[in-house]
Amino acid sequence: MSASPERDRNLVALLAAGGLFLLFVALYMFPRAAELRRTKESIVTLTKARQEVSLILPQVSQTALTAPEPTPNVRAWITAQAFKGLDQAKQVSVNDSYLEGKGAKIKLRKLKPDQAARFLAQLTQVRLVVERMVLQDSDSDGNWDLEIDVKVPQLP
Amino acid sequence: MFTGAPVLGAANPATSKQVALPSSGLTFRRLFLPRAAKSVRQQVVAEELSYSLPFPLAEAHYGTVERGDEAWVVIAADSVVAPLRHLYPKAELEAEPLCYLRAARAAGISTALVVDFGATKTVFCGIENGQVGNVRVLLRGGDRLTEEVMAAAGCGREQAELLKREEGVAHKTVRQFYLELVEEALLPSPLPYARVLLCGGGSATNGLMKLLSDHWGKDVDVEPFPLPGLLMPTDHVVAYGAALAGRVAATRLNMDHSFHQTGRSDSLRWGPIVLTALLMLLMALATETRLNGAKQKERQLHDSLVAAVGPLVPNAASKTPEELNKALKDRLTAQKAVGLSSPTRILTTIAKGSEAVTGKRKASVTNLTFEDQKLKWEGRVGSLKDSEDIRTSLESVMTEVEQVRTRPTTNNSFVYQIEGKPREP
Repeated sequence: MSASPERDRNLVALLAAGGLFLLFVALYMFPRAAELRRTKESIVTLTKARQEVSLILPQVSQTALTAPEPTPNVRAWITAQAFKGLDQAKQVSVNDSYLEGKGAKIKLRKLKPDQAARFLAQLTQVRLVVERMVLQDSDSDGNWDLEIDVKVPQLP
Repeated sequence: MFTGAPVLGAANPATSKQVALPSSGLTFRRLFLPRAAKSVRQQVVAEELSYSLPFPLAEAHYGTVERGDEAWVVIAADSVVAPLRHLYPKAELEAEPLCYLRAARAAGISTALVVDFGATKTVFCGIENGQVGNVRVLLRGGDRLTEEVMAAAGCGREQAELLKREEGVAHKTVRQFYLELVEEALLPSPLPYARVLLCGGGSATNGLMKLLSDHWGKDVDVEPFPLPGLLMPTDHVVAYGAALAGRVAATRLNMDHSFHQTGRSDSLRWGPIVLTALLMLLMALATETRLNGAKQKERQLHDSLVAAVGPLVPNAASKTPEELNKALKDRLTAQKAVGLSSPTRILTTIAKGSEAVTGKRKASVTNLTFEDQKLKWEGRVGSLKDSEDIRTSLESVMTEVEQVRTRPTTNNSFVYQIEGKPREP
């Protein structure tokens, strides 16, 4: 009995085992390790994002818009609610079609300070933002002309 | 009685049976082995035997009894093993000398010479210190004796058998036959054993024990092989010894090992591959476990994030963490911007800012403009200092406050323009 064939068989077995292991590493371990690495990176990203969200959420909650939108549209609501107590003569114009009902351009003439304040106070009851406003007492007689563009805010 | 056939002993009927290979088909070697792995010791046995066997090693079966650095090796040609293996396919193949050894040990004997007078052979098995010391086999037994008696007396076989049994060693031919056997065994003189145990069919020959006792001298006790109960030394020694192989810790060997098989051992060839496969399995299990754990944690974090921002960000589930974060920040920025342009904020700023103006003598506001989140105050004041005071006071309700323009008028007053951003709530 010779030892060489035995050694050859052992060598072949070792080579086969080594080849098998290399195949396993190349076809299984590398892809799975890459996936594991990606997942761990994702966990780090998610953890960081979750921490940032935890910081932002209270601020978002604090600045949340709680007032209702004007219904049925801005012009109708202003006509019905904000013009209460104002003479028709002081209402110069209301642009009906501005922003397809989601906004309004209003011009009022010769308002007393308290009327101007009441009008603006009415606007605070609904969800509106002022795009532009000019409050002018050009002849310093205590009567104010008001031009105001308002709209319903659109959040992302 | 004088059959010389292999003997079957039931060691444990429920599990296994031993078949004792006859000593005539065996050869024995005592080898010294290095302290090494089993495979290495196996290689040493193979190398040692390859130089001294009368037949090719690849055509032999063997069994070993190892004790420390020593191995007692029993070898049988495949031609001896194959017929028995065919007859008893499930039995373990044993060696006859080991059966003598176990039977002697069972009787509390650790040193003795066992002489088995069989039909076709006579076996001299020396047991020394509880081990098989030497074995000699003479291929002459009861059958040959019958033939010699037939020749000497000129009678038939049946009459010769009768003569052999009735006269025993008193018959010259019988006496001479047994003395020749003992001489041919080439045993040392004086005999180094205090006891000689006789067994086999021929041991029942009349006067044989006295003949042998006289031959070896009075220091040697010649006696029948001691067996328990109804067992007869003429018939049952080997079977009893074979059956004793089933005892716990009994000395035994397994003649199923083959050098032919050893030469192309599957275990050696598949060992590394099986180990590698096992290693790969463990690695795969560990990897999958870790990956599953990581995936589960990732899923939990993602679900938690989506649940937190879901009410504020549309389609949150399909967005990446970065997109969700950005969407939330955009939402916050938009809400803050809305807050800065809200009628409430503007009205509050105007109300508080007016106090800064009306607190000054000869100061007035004539124009308030809000555009691009900036509130611009315009009016008249009595002095530049008043204008600066107003600007300073407005800093309490606005940020980025600056004097845009200040110009004198014809009636000893000044026109001022101050602008800034309403403060965040």
